[in-house]
Amino acid sequence: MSSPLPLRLAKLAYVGGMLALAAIGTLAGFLDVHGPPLFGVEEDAKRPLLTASSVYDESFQHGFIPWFEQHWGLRSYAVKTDNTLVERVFGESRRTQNVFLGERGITFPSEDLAYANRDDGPEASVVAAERMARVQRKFRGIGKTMILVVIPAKTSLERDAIPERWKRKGVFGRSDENLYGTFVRTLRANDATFVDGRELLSRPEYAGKVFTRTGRHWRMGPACDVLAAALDLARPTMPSLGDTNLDCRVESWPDASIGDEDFDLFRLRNTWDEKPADVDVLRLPKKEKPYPKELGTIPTLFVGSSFTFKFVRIASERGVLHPSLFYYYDRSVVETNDLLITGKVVPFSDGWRKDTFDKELFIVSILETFLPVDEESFFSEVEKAIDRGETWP
Amino acid sequence: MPFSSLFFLTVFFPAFVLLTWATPRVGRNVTLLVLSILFYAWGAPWFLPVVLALGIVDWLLALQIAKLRGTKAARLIVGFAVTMHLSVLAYFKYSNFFVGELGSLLTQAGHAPISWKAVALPIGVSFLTFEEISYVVDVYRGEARPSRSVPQYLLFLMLFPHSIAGPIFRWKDLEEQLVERNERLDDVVQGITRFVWGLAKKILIADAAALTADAAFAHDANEVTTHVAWVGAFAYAIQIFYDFSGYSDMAIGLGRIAGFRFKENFNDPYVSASITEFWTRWHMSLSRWLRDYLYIPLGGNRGGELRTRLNVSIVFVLSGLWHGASWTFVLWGVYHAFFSVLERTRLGQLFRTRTPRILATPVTFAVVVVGWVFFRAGSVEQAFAFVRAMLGVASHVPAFPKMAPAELLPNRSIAFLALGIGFVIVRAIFGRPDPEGPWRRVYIAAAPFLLLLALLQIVNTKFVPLIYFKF
Repeated sequence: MSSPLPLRLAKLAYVGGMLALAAIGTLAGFLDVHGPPLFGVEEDAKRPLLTASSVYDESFQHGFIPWFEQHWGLRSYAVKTDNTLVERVFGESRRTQNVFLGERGITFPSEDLAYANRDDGPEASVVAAERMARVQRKFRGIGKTMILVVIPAKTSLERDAIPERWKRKGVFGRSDENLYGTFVRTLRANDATFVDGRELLSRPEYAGKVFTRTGRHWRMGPACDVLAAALDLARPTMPSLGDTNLDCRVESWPDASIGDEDFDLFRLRNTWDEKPADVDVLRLPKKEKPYPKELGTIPTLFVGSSFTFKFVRIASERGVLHPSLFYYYDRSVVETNDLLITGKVVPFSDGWRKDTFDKELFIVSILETFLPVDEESFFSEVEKAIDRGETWP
Repeated sequence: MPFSSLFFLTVFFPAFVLLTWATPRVGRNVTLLVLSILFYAWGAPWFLPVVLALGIVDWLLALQIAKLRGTKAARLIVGFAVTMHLSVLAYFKYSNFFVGELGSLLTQAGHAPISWKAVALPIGVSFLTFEEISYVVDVYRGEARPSRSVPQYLLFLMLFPHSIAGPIFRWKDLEEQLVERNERLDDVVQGITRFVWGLAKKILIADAAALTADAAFAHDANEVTTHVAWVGAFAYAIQIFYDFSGYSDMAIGLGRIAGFRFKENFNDPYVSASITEFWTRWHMSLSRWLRDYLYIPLGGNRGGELRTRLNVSIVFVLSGLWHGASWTFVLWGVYHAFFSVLERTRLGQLFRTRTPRILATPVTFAVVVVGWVFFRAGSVEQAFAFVRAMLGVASHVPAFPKMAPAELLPNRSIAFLALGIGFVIVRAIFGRPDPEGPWRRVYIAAAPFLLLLALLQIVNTKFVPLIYFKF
């Protein structure tokens, strides 16, 4: 017996609604409706070529699915809604977001939390620090100055904001001694010249000021202070630096866009939340007077991760430490005047030897999070080149 | 193309519903066959010709068997067909395992390692093999008529709702439905609803439980604490049940949309009060198959108690091996064989008859949970180390697990594990809800929200961004 008409219509509406719900994202993708942009970098999925052989060997299917998922029409709506729901309901972020929610709205990158929970022994940190100190001496031997900078992990300075549930019992904090502690002690024992950024920024005057609660990286002021400390250390062996140091006074920047680095963890959460109004982004004020020529004309090589990018910006905005290059951790070579990637590091090539060894000052940052392997390849490559006498000219 | 993939859900599924219903009833089987072939071709195109060829050969052999039934020739043909299908299964599923084992034995004896190119495992080959065997055997026994057309038989074999992970069909159960089905709009409503509930079981509960199970089993098994081992094994028990039964729900729902009524594959297995009962409720299509095509031909319980116990053991060991080509699966089979045989002893019968159900059910559940460790572990060593930790007899138990509480049990896992076990307890106490009762409306009305939640999660878990890759 067939259903009465209203019931039949209700069933048809249900079926139609469910199919529409299932298919709407695909249709939107077909119509190029993509929604608000998502923050974060992912590998670009290329649409594979449809051929009989690519279907037979399944390369088409394996390539098509990631492409389809990346280009699904309402993807950003789905991602933001899901993240918002998960955070609201469970008070946690999805692990795939690589952001952890701490107390008082402070967010942490997953790598920093992993670092605080690491259980490695101290041996590798000793080896790494000894090598860095050795390379530093070798630089000195060829008349160059290298300053090491230890950059703190956010979890080291904002420890009280880490929820107890995310701490490995009996392990949490061991990296303070086994990795960081051993590393800086070994550097000291080997007479290395370095700025212990963690120690410097742990001082009371920096409490709660090094990171924004929404950012993964250090703020402009603390970064500038650490760079100034590095230049102070370089001065005795580099009289050409002159006596004037960096002016690290900073000002609030209330109009800073959501795209600023100090909001990067907030953006990485990819929720529907509004930009937080209480986050104080700092910037260097417009330069009032030029720096002395000496500070401006020191050929410098910066080496490090995205934290070091702050040094590069300071140098660029202040017009100091030029000409300079930045070897980014993904092996990109960045021209610091206009912040353009000009190529890749190709160790032992003529270009690399010139780019590296025609500099006078080397500021190499070691991010605590990635101890003891951070910048491993840079140290091994320059050491080999110096040992072989393959510097420049 | 898993049913829980974005492509299936947002392209194949709507296309299947629309095409099936847009096709006049007389041509619906053709549409279904084409869709099923496309579905299979997407996942294992290189194996498709083998499936089609085996299906056609099977169909021809069954015709001959029916013609010669009762003769020695029929017996020979059915023997040939079974051997052929088992050989295909042995080659594609077990050759890597056996060659690997043989190679390590030879290497230990000082011989050169065997040069062997690994054979890829085609999707659904275990299910296909069992269905093909049941078909020729049923025709031989006179319990089923042979199919009248090749496309019809191929549709039985390849019908996409069941071709990846079952349930295991039998020709005699589907024959009439393949010829004539009375599809109604209500079937589509019920089918979609069942499919979505299955999807939600898999995506919302099983995947959340997997966070905990994966974290526990990723832990060095020799360093695992008793509570981590239990939490991990329990989470895996929830994961595998909601994953597999969710998948069966999806298959049953998809079949219903096309007008099929597939048999149930799960019947609240975790409310079982004995291992014997568990196997009447878990993966029921497999249990029925093993009973009819292995246990009974072996003699069943007709050869005395010792022979019965041996038959039970053979069935469970082979069932373990059927689940996967690894010693861990064999051990899982041995484990269930042990408890099934134990239940046949005087002690076991005493337990079964004297223990109140309210006590027997959690004891049985605990036995099943420990058994899942063998199923989930990556190696025999890991399985035993894990079980030792669960039983508190590990030689070294660290004071703390090497993971934070939230790594093992994020809030989402806690919530969905509680929901998962909550459903089991409610069903144990109140039984299955009446499908026509007041819950029916809630069941249907909740489906759109569940579909939306599942879709959001499916899309989001594929988005794994980094802050900076380059700037």
